[in-house]
Amino acid sequence: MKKKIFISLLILTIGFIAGGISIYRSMEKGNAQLEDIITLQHIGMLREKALHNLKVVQADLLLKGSPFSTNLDNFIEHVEEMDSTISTCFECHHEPDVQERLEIFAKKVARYKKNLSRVYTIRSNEERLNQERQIAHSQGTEIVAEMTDMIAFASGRFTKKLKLARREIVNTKMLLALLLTLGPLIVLGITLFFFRDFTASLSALTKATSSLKNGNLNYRIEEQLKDEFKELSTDFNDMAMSIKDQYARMQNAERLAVVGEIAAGLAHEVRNPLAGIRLTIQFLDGKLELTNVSKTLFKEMTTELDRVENLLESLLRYARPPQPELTSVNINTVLENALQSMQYSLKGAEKNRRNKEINIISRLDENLPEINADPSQLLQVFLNLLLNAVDAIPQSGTIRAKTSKLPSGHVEVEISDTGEGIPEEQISSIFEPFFTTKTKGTGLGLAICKRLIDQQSGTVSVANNSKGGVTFTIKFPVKTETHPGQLN
Amino acid sequence: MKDFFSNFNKLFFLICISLFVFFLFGCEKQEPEKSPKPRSYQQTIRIGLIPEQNLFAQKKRYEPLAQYLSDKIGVNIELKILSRYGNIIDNFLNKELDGAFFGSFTGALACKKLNVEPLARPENSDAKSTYYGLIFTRIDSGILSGADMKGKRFAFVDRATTAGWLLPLHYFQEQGITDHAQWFNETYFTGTHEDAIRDVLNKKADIGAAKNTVFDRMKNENPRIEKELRILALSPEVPANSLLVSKDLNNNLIVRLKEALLDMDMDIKGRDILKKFGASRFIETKMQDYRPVFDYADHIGLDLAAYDYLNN
Repeated sequence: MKKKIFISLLILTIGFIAGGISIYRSMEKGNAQLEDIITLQHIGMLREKALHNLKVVQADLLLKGSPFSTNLDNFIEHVEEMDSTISTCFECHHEPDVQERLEIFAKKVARYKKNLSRVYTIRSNEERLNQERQIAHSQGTEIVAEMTDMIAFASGRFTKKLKLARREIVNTKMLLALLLTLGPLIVLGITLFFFRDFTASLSALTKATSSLKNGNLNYRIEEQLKDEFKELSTDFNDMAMSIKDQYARMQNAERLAVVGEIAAGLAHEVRNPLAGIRLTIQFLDGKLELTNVSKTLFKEMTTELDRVENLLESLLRYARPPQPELTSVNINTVLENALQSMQYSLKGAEKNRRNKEINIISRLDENLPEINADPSQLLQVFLNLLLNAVDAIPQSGTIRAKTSKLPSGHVEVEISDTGEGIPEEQISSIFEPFFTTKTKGTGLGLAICKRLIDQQSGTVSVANNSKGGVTFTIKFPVKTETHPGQLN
Repeated sequence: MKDFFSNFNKLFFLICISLFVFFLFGCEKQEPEKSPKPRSYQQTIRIGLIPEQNLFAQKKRYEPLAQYLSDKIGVNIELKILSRYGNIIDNFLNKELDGAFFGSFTGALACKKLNVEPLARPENSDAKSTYYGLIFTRIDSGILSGADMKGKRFAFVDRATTAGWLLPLHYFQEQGITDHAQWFNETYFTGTHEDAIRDVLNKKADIGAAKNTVFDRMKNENPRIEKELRILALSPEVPANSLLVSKDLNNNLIVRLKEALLDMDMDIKGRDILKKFGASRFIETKMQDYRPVFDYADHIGLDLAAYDYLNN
C-alpha cells in the first residue's frame, strides 16, 4: 500500500511537473513568438520610418538649389535621422543571409551619404553639379526601392510569425484544456482506485471483527486482501485462532477445576469407606479360618481396592497437580535417571514387562543447556512415557531417547518406540483424560504428563513413526540468564 | 507510514517551492542596458567644423570630443558642420559661432579677420601637429608637370584651404601657369579633401590637391590610392586644424576649455577619445604658429586681410 501510494503520488508529481513544464515551454514559445512579432512590427515601423527619412533626404536633394531648398543644418539632421533609423534596424539579430543583405545595404547607405555630402560641398559647373546630384539621387532611389522591398519582406515575415503565434496560442490553450480535464480525471481515478481497495478491505475486516464479537471464534477472513490489509487479515486470523485456543484452555481449566473438586470430594467420600473395607478385610483375613478359595478372593478384593485407590490418586494428581518447584535442570541427567528406573522396572516388575527384549538407545546432546523445571515431575513424565513405550512393544523392540538443542531456543526430548503405534483417528485424543488403549490403564497417565509439562511452559506432541511405533516430542524453553538489572 | 507521509509532504513541498522559484526567475528577462543620455548644461557654446571629410563623418568624428569637453567645463558644446571652409568666417562674423576648428588657412584668415584666440590643436601619434598639401594625379595620366596639365581637369578643395588652394596656386606660379582658368579645361572645388582624392582616383578629375593627413588615412583604407596616384608637389608644413574661440567668450571659460584640451591625455577617458579622434594629445596653438601660412600666402601674393575666400 505504501508503495502504491508513493508511486501514485510520484506519478501525480511527475505529471504535475511535466504538465507545468509543458505549459511553461508552450507559453515561453508563444511569448517568444509574440516577442518576435513585436520585434518584427518594430522593425517594420523602423523601416517605414527609415523609408520616410530617405524620402525626406531625397526631397532635400531634389529641392537643392531651388527657392524651397533645405538649409544645411536641417539637411544634416535629416540624414542623421535617416542614418540613425537604419542603424537601429541593423542592431537587431538577423539570420546570416538577412545580415549579409543588410551589410550590403549599409555600404550603399554609406556611399549614398558620401555622395549627399558631396552634393552639398562641391562647387563646380552646372553639368558636374547635376551629375553629382543625379548620382546621389539614383543611389537614393535604389535604396528607397530596396527599403520598400525589405518592408514588404518584413511584412511577409510578420504575417507568417503571426500565424505561427496564433497556432502556438491555440496549442497552449488545448494543452491547458487537456491538462485541466485529464488532471482531475487522473486524480479521481487514483482516488477511486484507493477508495475501492480501502472500502473492500475495511468491509472484510469489519465483518470479521463483528463475527468475533458475536462469539464466532471459527470465523476466518477468507477474502484475499491486498498489501497491508493482507497482513492485517493474517494477523486477525491468527488472533482469532489464538483466542479460540485460549478459550479452549480456559474451558479445559474450568473443567479441570470441576474435575478436581469432584475428585477431591470423591476421594474424601470414597477413601474413608475404602479404608474401612480394607481394615475389615484384613481383620477378617486374620480372624477367620478361610479356605484357600476364600483367601484368594480376599486377596483379589485387596488388589481391587489398591486399584481403586490408585485410580483416585491419579485422578487427584490430574485434577490438582502439585505446583512444580522450578530449578535449573540438566535434562540429560533426568532422562538418564528415568532410563535407569525403566531398566529396573524391566528386571523386577510385572511379568508382561519382564519378559520383553528391549534394546535401549540413547543419544544425548552433551552440550545441552539447562532448563527451568521441576526435576521430580520431569522424571515422572519421562518414566511414564518410557514405560508406555515398553508397554507398546509386543515382545522385542527398541526404545530411543534423544536430546538436542533447537535453533528456536528450546531443548527437545524425543522418546520413540518400535511398537504398533496409535491409530491415526485416535492420535489427537491421546492426551485427553480417561483415554487409553490399554486394557488395564486408567487413561490418566498421558493427561497428567501433559498437565505437568504445560505447567512448566513446555509442550508435548506425538506422531506415528514411518516404520512403526510412535515418537513423543517434548520441548522446553532454554533457561534464560537473568542479569542483576533485569530481575523482576 | 506517518513518517513516510511526513517525509513525502516535505519532498512535495520542496518540489513545489523549487518549481515556483524556477518559474518565477525563469520568466524574468533582463532589460538591455541603455547607454546613458549625455548630460545637459545651462550655457551653450557653438563650435564650427570645416568639411575636412564628408559632412557626416566629420561631425561624427568630433562628437565624442565635444561631449568630453562639455562634461569637463560644464557647458553644452553644439557642433555646427559647414559645407564650405570659407563659411566659417561668415558664420563667425554673423555671430553664429563661438569657436571653430579652423584649418590652417582659415585659421590664418581668422587671425587676420576675426577677434579670435587660438587655443589648441591635435598632435598625431608620430608627434606631428602639422600637415602639408599634396598635388597628385593618376599614374596612368602621364601628367608630370604643369605643361602636361594643359586642357585637363583640376579638383581643388576650397578657396580657403592651404592644401587645396594655396599649394596649387603656388605650384601654378612655379610651373608658369598664370591663368589657371584658361590653362585647364575645367576646375572645380570638391569641398572636401577626400572628394578631391577620390575624384582623381575615379577619373572624375585629372589632377587634385589635398592635405597629406587625409591622403594617408585614405591610403591605409584603400590600397588603390598608393598604387594608382602619383604625388607631384608638396606644400610647406602648416599647423593642423586648431580650435580658435571668440575673444568675446568669458575668459574663464576660454581658460577652462584650453586646459581641458591640453589635459585630455592625462585621463583614461580623454586618452580613449583622443585615440578614436586620431591624435595622441592636444598641444597649445599660438598666433605665430600660423606664420608659415602667412609666409606662403605672401609668397603667392595673397593679401589675407582682403582675401575673398568664397568659391563662387
